[in-house]
Amino acid sequence: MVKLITAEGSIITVEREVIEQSGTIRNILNDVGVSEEPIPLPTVSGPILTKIVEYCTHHKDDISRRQPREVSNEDESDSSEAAIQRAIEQMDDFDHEFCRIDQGTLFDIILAANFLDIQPLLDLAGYTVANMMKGKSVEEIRATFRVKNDFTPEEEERALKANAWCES
Amino acid sequence: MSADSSEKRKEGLSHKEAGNRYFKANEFSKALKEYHYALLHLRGLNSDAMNVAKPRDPETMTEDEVTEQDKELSAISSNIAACHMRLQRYDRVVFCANEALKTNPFNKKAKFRLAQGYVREGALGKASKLLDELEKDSPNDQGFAAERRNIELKEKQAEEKQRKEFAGMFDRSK
Repeated sequence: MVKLITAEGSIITVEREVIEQSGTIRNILNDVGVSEEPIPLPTVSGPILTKIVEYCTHHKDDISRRQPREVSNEDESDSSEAAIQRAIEQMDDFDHEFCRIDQGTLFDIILAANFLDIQPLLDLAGYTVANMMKGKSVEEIRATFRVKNDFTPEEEERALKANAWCES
Repeated sequence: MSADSSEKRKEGLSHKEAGNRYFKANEFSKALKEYHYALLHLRGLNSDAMNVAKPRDPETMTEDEVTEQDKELSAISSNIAACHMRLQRYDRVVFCANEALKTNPFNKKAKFRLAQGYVREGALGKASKLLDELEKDSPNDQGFAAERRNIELKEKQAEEKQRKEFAGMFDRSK
């Protein structure tokens, strides 16, 4: 069993084979070993860590998730497209249900999945955000994600012209 | 930086310093733990979800795109690789040095550690290429020269071995 400390200072205990889906934790356990001493995760809050443990528990039988992802050097852009496609195909009902959360939580999950190095979860959350953007206009995306418009009118004009081909 | 972030930073830096002290005292396993804890506190202090979604490509990054924070994180990863060198875990040396270079592709120490790891893992071609790059900037470095000699030695050993294995190969059919 591995002990983790959340940002608020509470301790969460989890099975090694569940939490080893996190590359960050896997590396620490390999280098430092499992001990009574809990691993501090200062940027991950209790609720988010709990959701992440839920995700990892569901996927714990998938052994490939406990090893570092093999990245081939040839055709790297091709293989990352293909990898994303494969990741999308492998999403199950649990994964889709998992992402029915508010935007704030979704963004926190992206940050935590990045920090903990859990690529499939990062893919899943990123895919969910991409879907939230689909079909929206620039103003709608700004409104949904509360993004400030920091373009000057000239810059905005230029950007719209350069990307006009994808609007039709 | 928020009060919370600066607390984390202080904590992270004190772990880093503890790691440095243990390393100097040749206590590499303890140093490893401190360095890992330092990373846990120092990583992710300035992230927001949008810049996580679009990571920078180490191959195309320019030197001024590397922030002070990146340099710090990269130095710690490189120190972790140094611990593994002393503990003779050469696969970990390669992994951690690569991590350091992902954060700061211009970290020369990390590049050197990567070369050292490659040499000991038998990837002499990769090590040679890295040393070529390093020697271009610092042609008189003693450390680089020592690794060069290591590579030449290993190549000679490999040649000897092959020669012995194939000796008399064409005579066996007689």
